[in-house]
Amino acid sequence: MWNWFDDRTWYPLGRVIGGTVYPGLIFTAGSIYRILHFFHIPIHVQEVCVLTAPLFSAFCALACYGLVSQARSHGAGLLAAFFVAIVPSYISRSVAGSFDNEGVAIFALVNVFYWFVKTVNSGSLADAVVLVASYGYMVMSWGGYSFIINLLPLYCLACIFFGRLNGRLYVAFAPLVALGTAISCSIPVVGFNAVLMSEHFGAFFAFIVLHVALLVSYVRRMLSTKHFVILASMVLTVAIALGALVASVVVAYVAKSPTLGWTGRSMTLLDPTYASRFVPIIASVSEHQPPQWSSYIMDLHMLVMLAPAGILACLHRLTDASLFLVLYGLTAVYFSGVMIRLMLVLAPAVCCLSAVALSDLVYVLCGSMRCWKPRFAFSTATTSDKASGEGGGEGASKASPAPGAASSPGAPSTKDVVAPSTPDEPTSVKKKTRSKVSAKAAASEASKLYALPFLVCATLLAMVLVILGLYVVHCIHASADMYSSPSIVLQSPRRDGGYYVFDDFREAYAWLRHNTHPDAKVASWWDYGYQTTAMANRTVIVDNNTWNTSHIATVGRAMSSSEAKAWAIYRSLDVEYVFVVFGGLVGYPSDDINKFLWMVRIGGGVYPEIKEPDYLTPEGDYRVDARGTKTMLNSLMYKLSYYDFAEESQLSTGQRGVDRVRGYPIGKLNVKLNYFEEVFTSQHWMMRIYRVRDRPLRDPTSRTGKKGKAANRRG
Amino acid sequence: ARPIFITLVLLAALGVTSAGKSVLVLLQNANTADKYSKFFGSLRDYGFDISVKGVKDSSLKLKEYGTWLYDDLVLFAPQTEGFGGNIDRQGILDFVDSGHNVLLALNSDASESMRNLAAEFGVDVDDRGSKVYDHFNHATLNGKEDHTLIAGGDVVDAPVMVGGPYKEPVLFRGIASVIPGDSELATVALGAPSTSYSHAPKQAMLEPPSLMVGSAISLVTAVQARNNARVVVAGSLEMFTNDIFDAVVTVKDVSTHTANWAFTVTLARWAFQDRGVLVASNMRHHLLGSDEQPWGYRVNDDVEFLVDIVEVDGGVPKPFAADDIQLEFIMLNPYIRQPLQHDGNGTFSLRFKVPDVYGVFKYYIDYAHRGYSYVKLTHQVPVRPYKHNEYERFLLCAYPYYASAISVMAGFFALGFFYLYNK
Repeated sequence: MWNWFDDRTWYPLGRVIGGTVYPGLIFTAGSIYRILHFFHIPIHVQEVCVLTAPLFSAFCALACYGLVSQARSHGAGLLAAFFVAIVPSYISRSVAGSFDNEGVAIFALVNVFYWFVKTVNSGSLADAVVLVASYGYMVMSWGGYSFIINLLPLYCLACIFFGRLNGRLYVAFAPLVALGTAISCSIPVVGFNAVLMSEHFGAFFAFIVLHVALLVSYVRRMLSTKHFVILASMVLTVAIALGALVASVVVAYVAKSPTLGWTGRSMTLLDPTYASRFVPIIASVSEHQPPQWSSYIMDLHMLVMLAPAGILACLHRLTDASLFLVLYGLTAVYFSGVMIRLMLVLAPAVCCLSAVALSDLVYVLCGSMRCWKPRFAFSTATTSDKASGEGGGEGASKASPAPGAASSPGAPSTKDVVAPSTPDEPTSVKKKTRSKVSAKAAASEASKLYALPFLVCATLLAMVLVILGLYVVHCIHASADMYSSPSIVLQSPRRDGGYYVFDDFREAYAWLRHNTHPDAKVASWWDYGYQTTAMANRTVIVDNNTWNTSHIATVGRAMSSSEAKAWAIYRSLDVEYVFVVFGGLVGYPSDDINKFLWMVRIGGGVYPEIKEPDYLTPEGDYRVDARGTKTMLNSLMYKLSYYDFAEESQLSTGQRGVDRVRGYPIGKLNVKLNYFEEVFTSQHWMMRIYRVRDRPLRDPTSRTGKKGKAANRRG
Repeated sequence: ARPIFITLVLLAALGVTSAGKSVLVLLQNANTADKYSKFFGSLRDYGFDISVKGVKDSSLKLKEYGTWLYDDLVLFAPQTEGFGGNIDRQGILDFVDSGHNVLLALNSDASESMRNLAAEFGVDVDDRGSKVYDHFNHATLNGKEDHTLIAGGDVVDAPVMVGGPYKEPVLFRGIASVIPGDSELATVALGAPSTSYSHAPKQAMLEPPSLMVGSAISLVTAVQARNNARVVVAGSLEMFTNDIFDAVVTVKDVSTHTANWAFTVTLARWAFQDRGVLVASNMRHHLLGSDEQPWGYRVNDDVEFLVDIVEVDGGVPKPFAADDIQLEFIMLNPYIRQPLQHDGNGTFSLRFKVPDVYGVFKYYIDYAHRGYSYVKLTHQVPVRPYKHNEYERFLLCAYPYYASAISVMAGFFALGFFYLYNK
């Protein structure tokens, strides 16, 4: 696959698959297939592909369990695993049959976090090695790895800022930056971006700061305070001078590129209005739009409410791990607000935070209930009382045992936290003394022993159970309703309870597969590129791997040009068939007419003769009715969509020329095509295929009058 | 693969037709065939199977049960408005569009339907009643000076199409036509002298005079459609007659024979695809030093492209020789455009280095030489980048990096050694 050059897509550029695809998913499925066949389990490769995503969603649940166990307790971990297992946002990518990067990448993401937190807790080099390996897998799987490589430095800086710097953090972070960068450099699709693009500068910066901070603390320990101050002032002056020099070089390098060295997608994240202004191709994807509020509820349900409580709970008893969870949650919330696709990154964060919140709540409630039955559980009462006090947010100690759910009191995971890791570090020494103090305080507070009334506890517990039940119901409903039907076959409910099925896409692709020459080139908007490649088995001009903007812009330009111009463009690309998706007859809203403005914008981004205002009414509306502009009504997209539409709409709906998506009569009923000919239109007119005509065999001349002849003479 | 297929089909078609192409001649009146007996006789000598019919003959048909009955059509009936039998204008156009040829002769009284037919082929014939006049380059026939009998015509310099060069004049009496300035398919086979003009004497002159003059006028036009079907539109029917063939005329006080016989017969043979037909076949390409044709190439490969082109003359293929056949190697833009070398035996070849750009390239030959049929070949061949293990293992410019990596490793090793064992 590294060396696969695909000559059936992106004609005539071809596509270097190794350099334009994240190989993680394919390697994963391939290895599963090979391993199973090694053990003589005869399973078809398609079955492997179908089941990869569900398998990895199970792994993701395990990783979430591990992450929250590290951060809080096993009980919270179980809850987190439960939440993430059925959260609708993640189900959208982990249903059987979804073979998408995100299917394995979300697992890889959480896995990296798990190993990072584990390494921070344990300080073990072996864990760090696993962390680097899992980071490598993440880089292989998804472009979202840049989220990690920015979140971890952020965490690192936060630790330094809060005085939580210790050797364990160094063990976790330093190898990750050094080896992780080396690994990502050897993934072809990332390549030298791993050191050249600004996304990764944060990691290097934090790497340097970490070293400086460690050096400073080391030197401070070696010298007396007075000497240290003198040394610090000397070093600072030199450092500022040097730093200014380095900074100016870096700034000069960065400022050289128009996007300041950031890739377009990252700029979109930092500045949400960036894409709509400069990179229409990113903004045109519906997944890159900011989500609506309702989609938060739809995708996360009650977790939306629990997550802030989880942040509070984490901050109340701040450990290294819970600080990480808080940062993860906060950044993920921001990013998901920019792009709907990053809801996927948010989902595990919200699950983990909610699990922390809910487990704390349940712990308090259960502890209180236990207080009311001291006779039955006298032996455990003291510990549980103490823990319940902490669970209520009284104790601020990180040294105290983390409260588990009722099933696992006295979580053993806290052993790592208590153990002073590297005794020659002043911060951890300080922490140790502090923790002693706080432990004393906690003990005295625990003696206060205040608990909630039994009835309140029982009611609240019942409500928690009800909420959990509602969550399950919602998730099942959402996954059944939204994610269980293939997107290529549409259905609408009928009055008798059955479904009316729109199978136009497969119909049209089958037509292409059976009726066109195997070498024929098919042009369409890039949304349908992968489908055309896979289902029609024909060479396409552009597809969903949007690695070359100008080529897409060429197609967009053809669609927004007049017929003759578009014909010339398509001929120069050797295109034989063009198809458009049209929903005006049956009311399918995501058709090409509704996407057309994006084609205009993307085309106009590269070819300045395409101007967006030409396609809008003077009031700035986008309309295809009589008020639409002449350019709009003469564009190829309009013509291909509405060719013969007037007659058909009269026959099928009785309203001549009324577009059922737009809801008004179209602007020009009589559409004539000279350079294209209709060859196929699917049952509901959702796909219309046209052939690009050849040049005529003869060039007829019009008969001119005598005057014209003299003027038209040759030579 | 398709162009090869087409050329093979074409070759097969030629193989069949060279046995005796059948030509349908439509005259205004079938009894007047004697006027053109020398012209037809020459064509028969070249193996054409000629059947002469009247244009109003009710049994006329070009096509029967989906099969074309004739290979070529000669229309020597300029005045006719309609045809008998099953022939109509659309039928003739379909005949041409399916690769067959038409020789169309007109005169000053040509009917509107004939003019419209000529216009379909891209030839714009002047108004009815107009004639080409030339007060300087005209011939005197049988002692009668006639300013409409043009003698100084400009025969195109394409021997494959019209033969020649001719010392004697080609006589012409008839109507002018023009071809649009941007016409790609039409060639002026016989141009008017620069002193000529076209005028209808019975009509009033426009003010200011607006005449078709001089070299703007095409007397005989040869059209080759994109499917290599050929059409000749001659403004004069008279130039095909025995009278003109045998005439001895006086042009500028010099008595001379005419070149009409040779000119018209050669032109008709060209029109009927008996001359100037190129057939390209056996297109192949390979890496230098290997004989098999690969799936594709790697960037910077050295490759050789070969194609056999023969010229079919009178049904006999003979090697074609030209220096102006260009091969293009295109991906969006032509990266290579170079003339092909020929070895004298009809094999054209070019050795070149694949450009340092990957993509789906295509070999492209688009040869359109005046008088010859078009040769248009495309063949798609992908060019892939280097595989990950095909790069150079050690780069000279990277030695500092190797040095730094090795020195770091050595330093780490030394430091570790001292740290561990040097307490």
